[in-house]
Amino acid sequence: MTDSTTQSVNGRGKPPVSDDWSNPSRDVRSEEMVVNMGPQHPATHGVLRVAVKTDGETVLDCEPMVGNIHRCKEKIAEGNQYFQFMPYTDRLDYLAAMNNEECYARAVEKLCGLKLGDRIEAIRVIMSEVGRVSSHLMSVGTYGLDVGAITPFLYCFREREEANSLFEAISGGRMLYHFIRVGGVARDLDDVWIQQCLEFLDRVERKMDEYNTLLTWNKVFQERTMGVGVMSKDVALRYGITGPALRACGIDWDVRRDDPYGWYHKYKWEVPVADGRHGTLGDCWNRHYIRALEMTQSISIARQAIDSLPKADPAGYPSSPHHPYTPGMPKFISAPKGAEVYVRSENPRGELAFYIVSDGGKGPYRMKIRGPSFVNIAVLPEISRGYLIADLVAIIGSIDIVLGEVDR
Amino acid sequence: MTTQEIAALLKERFQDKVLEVVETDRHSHVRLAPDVYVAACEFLRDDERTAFEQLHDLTAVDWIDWFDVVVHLFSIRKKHSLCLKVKTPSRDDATCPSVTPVWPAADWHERETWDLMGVKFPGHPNLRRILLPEDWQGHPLRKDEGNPLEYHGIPGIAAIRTAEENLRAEELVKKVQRKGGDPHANPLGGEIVERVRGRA
Repeated sequence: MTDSTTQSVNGRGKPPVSDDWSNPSRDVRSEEMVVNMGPQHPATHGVLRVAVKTDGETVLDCEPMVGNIHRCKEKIAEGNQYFQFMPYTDRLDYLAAMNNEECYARAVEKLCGLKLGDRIEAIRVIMSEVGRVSSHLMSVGTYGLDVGAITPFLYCFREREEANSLFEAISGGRMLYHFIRVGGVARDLDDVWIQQCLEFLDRVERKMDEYNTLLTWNKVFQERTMGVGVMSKDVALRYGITGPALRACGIDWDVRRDDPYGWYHKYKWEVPVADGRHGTLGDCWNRHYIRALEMTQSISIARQAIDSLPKADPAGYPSSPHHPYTPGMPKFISAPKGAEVYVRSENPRGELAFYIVSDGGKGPYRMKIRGPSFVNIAVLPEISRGYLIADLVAIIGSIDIVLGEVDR
Repeated sequence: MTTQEIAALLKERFQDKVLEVVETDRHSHVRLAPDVYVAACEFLRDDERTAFEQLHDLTAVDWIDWFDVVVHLFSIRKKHSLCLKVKTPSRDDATCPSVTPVWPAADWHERETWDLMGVKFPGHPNLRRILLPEDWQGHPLRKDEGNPLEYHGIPGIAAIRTAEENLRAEELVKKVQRKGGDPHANPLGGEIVERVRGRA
């Protein structure tokens, strides 16, 4: 009895659904029942409710119920001017606020036909990549917590606190920055900050080996996540999955490289793609591992951007906390009537996109926010059927959603 | 491939059902007739030259007299993109065929568009509200939709504003009375009270 239970819990892949009583997995099956997971469940990363149809410990089907923190940001955008909506973008994916701001600013700049200086483009790359490191530290740490490893979470938070302090030093906010503005940034970078940033990058890079030893190459962690929640390439494409979850399926696609925006074409880095050498292609472990690899690449991009940071504009644009660093920005911006843009960027959780339609006014006529978490979580029923309830926690954690962006 | 080249392929297949091709430096789109929309999506997904395996986004725009359903497609193999637009017959008959059978990614996008914009997608397997509660009235992203006054005893923003303004008016009245005056006898004070109350 003990033997067969252990075997079924550790057995990988989908347990058979037959009534074969010689099958060991019958021990974890009983009658069908619908269980609510969340919205206050700690492993659902916010207010996500998952209605799970269970048979004993096995997940027969599940449905994510979203919308608990819906704020109808698209309606708010319609009533505001373009620059006024910028702080709201922070509250989409609140763990990667810099990346959201960058994408929105680029959408408005494309809509209004603004051109940016070289230094601003480089600053934005630095901010996006430090933001990505900060966000991935959070997701790697909490993923360990989801599957029962508490120590890496505390270690990752130690480093993430430094990233928060770094952002606080430049923008005044620890989580919601409102640093990137339409046409520029809130203030220019100074040498002290750049030095602090380099030290932070060095430290995270040193610590990465520690995290990988603690978590990624940990046998217990691997047993828990390898072969669980396998997403095939076909499913990933049909469901419109983007970001690390897509690359974990072995699809070599990164918007920063394949549809370059900003200054990403100026730097040399690699796009980490899962090759199936460890675990199964598209499983939870590979999604986690891609994030760990991406952090190293982000550190490399941020370093290159700092090394080749162009000098400040010779015109002597006032650069202080009281003057936004937006050289060449007109006092009022408006877009031509009928103009529309669809701008996307590679966020830590996938591709964030803004679709803005203008009617010639100071604000958008219609704005659609395509949040990567919203699209990625829709695949949950497809990849969790047949696994155990404990695996469902691992799968939700590995998709890495932020509910601020799912619900918008 | 550019939008023009993809539009040429579509025109070859669907002739005059390709209504409009617009290409600008900001954004390009192809407008299709609703009756060939699903067939065109299947063609775009399956044809080797286009290979749009990914539906990136689906949404709708309220143009008062009608709705535009806007679909953004991307191809990872071919590294190109396309925007499709389909017009609904009218505002009252806001329907557009569902592409969920073509791309499952459209499932949640169409549910969201129904929920917030009120565009129906016949052929969708499970067209329910997704972000708003099941018993919500109306579709908030429609241009004629205002702020709700109340939902299950929770005051809406309009009700909160009214309450705040009443409170401000009362405080003003008390302030004038404390100073020994009659707020309604004072022409200026009375005017302020009336103005604040009038707005409420």
